Amino acid sequence: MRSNGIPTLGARRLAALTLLMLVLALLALAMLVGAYMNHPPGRTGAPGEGTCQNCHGTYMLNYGEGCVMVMGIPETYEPSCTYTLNVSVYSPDMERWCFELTIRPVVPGHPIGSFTLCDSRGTCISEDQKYIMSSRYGCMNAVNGTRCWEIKWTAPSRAESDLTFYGVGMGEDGGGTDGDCVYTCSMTTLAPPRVPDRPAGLLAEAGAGCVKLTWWMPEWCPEGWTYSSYRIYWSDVSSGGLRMLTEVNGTSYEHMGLANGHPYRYQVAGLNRMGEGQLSEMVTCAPADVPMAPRALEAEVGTGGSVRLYWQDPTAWGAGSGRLYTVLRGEHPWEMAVVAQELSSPSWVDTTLPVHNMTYHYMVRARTTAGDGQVAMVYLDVPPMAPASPVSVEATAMSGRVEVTWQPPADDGGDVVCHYNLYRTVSGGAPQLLAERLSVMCYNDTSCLYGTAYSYSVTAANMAGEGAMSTPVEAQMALPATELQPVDLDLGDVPLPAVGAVAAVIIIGAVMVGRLALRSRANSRDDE
Amino acid sequence: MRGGWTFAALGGLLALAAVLLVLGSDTADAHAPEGLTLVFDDRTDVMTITVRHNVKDRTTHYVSSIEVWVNGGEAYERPYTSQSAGTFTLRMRLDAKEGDAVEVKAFCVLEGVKEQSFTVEPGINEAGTNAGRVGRVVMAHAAIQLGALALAVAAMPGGATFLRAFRTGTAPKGRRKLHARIGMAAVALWVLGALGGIYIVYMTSGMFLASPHGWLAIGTVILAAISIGASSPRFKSAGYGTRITTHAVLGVLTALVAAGTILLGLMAFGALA
Repeated sequence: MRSNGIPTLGARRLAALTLLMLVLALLALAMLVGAYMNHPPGRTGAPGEGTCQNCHGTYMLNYGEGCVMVMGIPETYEPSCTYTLNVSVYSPDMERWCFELTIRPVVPGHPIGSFTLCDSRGTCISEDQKYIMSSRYGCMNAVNGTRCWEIKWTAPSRAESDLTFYGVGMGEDGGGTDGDCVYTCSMTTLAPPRVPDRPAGLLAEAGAGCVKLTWWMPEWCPEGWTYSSYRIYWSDVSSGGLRMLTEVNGTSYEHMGLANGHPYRYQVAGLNRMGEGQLSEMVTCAPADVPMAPRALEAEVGTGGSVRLYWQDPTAWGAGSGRLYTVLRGEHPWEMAVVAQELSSPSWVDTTLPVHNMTYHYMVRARTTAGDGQVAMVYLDVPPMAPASPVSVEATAMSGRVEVTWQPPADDGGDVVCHYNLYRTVSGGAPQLLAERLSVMCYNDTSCLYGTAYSYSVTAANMAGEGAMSTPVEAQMALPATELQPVDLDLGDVPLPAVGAVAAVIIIGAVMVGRLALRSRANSRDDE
Repeated sequence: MRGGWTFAALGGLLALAAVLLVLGSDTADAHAPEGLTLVFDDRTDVMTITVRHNVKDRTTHYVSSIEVWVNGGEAYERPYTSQSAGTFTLRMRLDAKEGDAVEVKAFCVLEGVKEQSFTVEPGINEAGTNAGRVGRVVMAHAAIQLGALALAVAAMPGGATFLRAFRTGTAPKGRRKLHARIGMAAVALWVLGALGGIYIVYMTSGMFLASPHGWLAIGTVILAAISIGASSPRFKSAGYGTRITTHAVLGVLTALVAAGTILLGLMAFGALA
């Protein structure tokens, strides 16, 4: 087949065929590896994430008779207890089966416990420990279309949130993403029940011959902790100890038939199937003929991020004189603080909000010489404001560029700063946008000219908009090149010591030659 | 007939060439500068730009501007309304530091631009058409001056022979003409080297009177001339002894000043710094 060391046509064909076979083998190997690679985590269908169906989208989710199941999840979990769970994927007429499982707390941020592998070859855990899934080796060996995996889950030591398991299972019919069936499931395990927490912010408002009690429960509590009712305890200060007044279902109660001017003490406790919770803090109140609650209290966002409150006079001012209002503000109704008092008009503008992008609760109550009246309440979602201007803005003239740097604004307006805009002013003109949507806090202006004065301002922006410009800072690239003229030589550049030395030796030489010339002339005269 | 066709074809080609030459003369005349040489001395921060743009009419066809860019920013622009010579020089003080990128553009008023650039390094930076010439001239200048000093020193033993013969009252045995030729050759080399020095200064700082090396070089040449003059036959009447003593003193002084000049030159070049 060879002639003079040169491959013949047949040898070349053989080589080409071999190369083709090699390429095909590599392709097949790549497909095989790709098919057996672990699927990316985060496809369980939990809130905020998709499912395997995003890629394997031949059939609708949970199509057909297949399913994924997680067995062994307790109805109510015990803190730090380890449970053995069985995950099974049933998908008939498939070649491979896989699953992924994660847990999400009902209360965001609460711990979810941890997964442990029973079969380290057939299952694996994601790097962030949030997902457990079948491995590339654990996708085979199904029995009658069902593949099962055993895993362990240890409940968190802080059992303060119900937990929801989200699972996804998939049956694969071979290579590629076509023809695969995806199934999902979810189950919730409850946090262990306990007695209710302490009611918050017990408020006692005096009335004529009565006391109105109001309290609050936490915004969220696990199912086992919900309040079925509240028990109100009271005491006549003069008679001493507390005794139960009544049991109510709501979070307010008006105690009638009391004597004006006589102080009474109150406490409230929550009650559920696990028993009675801790008593609230004690409040003391003396019924009096004080003003009713202001009417039609409204709150709205004003200009510059302020909040404007306005209301109408109470229907009755009571027996006292001196009609004034007091405004309280807090992030929760049970955490109120006085922000304005001695107001004579039924409106007020709150310009002292510490932060924006938050819900604020306001209470307004009238006040006379008879005492504080009943409160009117309102809450308002204060949106974020545009951020303040960036600080520490500096512009430094470099060779061929001006470097502008800055620091984030002191007030971000209640929302994260998403980008910065840089403005440049030339020779006192109007600021012009130089660079926008900067995610870093420095910029090199390479478009500036030597000898031209520039001023730079920076703005920060968040979802609420662009904030104010920073105080302009100036920079000017000094002209690095100047033409030299012959007259540019300064006398100071002349090296005087060298000049003196040269002058000295030349003078010496001139004197010696002069002496020679004189002697020569004298001798010539003598000869003549 | 055949020869006639040949001459006719040749004539036609010549006519066509003449027409093309006339039609294309304007375009052909407009061209970018042929040469652009940049020399930047990092120690003196002086950049010398030499532009060669040979044209027929320097009032209508000239280098219209020279731009200097440093690190991408325009640092200087020199406009022109005419051109003083086919080759001319622009010298400027450039505050550029090591690592800065310097670019120079020379624009023809009609068409074309010549660009050269370099990155600043310590010492003398050269770029462009005649890049490296200054460095070569520096080396040649140093070699010539050292050679001249060597010749001057080589001439001294011969001169010393005459001085010794005069003092001892014996007949001189040296070769007077050889001594004189060696001395003349040394002086000629010093002058030649001085021309190289002038070129170096012209191409770098342009400050001829600003360096001790230059001043001592001037002193060397003048002293050498005086020394030769002292041995001139014009002063024969002054007496042999006076002439030879004066020449000897001036010759040694010239050699000393020359040695000092060379030393300062080497120091200025950085060889001994």
